[in-house]
Amino acid sequence: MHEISVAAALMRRVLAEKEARKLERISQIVLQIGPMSGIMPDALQFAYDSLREGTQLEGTELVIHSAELTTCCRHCLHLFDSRLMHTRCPRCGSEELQIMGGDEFFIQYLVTEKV
Amino acid sequence: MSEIIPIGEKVLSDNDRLAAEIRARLARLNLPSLNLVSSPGSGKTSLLEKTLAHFGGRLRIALIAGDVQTDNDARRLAAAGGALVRPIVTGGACHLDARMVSRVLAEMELEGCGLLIIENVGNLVCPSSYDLGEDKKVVLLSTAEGDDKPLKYPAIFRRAALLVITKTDLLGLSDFDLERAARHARMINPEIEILHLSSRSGEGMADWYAWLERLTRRPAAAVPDAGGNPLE
Repeated sequence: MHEISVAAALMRRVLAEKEARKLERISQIVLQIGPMSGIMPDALQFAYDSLREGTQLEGTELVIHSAELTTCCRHCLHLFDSRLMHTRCPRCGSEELQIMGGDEFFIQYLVTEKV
Repeated sequence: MSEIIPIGEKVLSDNDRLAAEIRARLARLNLPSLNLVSSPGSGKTSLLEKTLAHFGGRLRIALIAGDVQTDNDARRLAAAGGALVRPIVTGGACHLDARMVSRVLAEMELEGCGLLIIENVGNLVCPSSYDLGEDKKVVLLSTAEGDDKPLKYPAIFRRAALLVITKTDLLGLSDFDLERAARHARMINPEIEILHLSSRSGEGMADWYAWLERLTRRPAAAVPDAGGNPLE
């Protein structure tokens, strides 16, 4: 469970951005997280919600967009989306599969409010 | 009025910047480096003990041993002949990050070393998120675990250059299937190299030593230079 340290790093990163760009108020932080990133979205949300209290990000909401996981069958080249690991191709039954992408873990954008 | 500020940067970019500094320093020293990751109890420390004893004075290995609460692993490795062993006791944290490694490296005398091995905290999840500036990640999986672990913990298998299947002397005592484990690992990462060995019986150890020797014999030009200033 490293989501607490990840949430802390995220907050430092966003506060540095706020400072550098002289942003007044950030209403949302929007993240993209892939199923192969090793980050659990629920745990990160919980860690962030706990850590933000009493900081400059107290009123800032964390929005997490989950990325899809695409698997390719190397036998019949069938491409299919799944969040869970498959061990067989749903079309031809081959076990020669390859996972494509899913490593995403980045800040897509911030939503700011001008008073 | 709302405004959208695109960022498009990794959340752990601070860690990655520090890791790039470490990578550049190691490249200047022409020192190859490994980050060893596995579940608790899959045999990282035993493998390293045997490795230190095997290379003896022929190859000076610098070791950073991460542990949650004791420096037992670092003591074991120093007793096994590790000339340069430093512990990182994380005090509860489940992974090493670039900041911890950078601090310890700053105090290590790395001149004359031929290889740096960082033994991560026993955990297959969290260490996968943190680049430590190493050349390659090596993941260990013991035959006492499930052969579907690559599918259950895909992130680390995705990022590892080498999978070492350990405790092969126990094969046959569990349902662990070498072929199935390899197939699952290649499904996550088609490029991954795979070795199997037993530190206890010595089976397969020669392949591991040969793999390490290849790593230490690479030409200086092949060292990746991430972010180092060429004019330094």
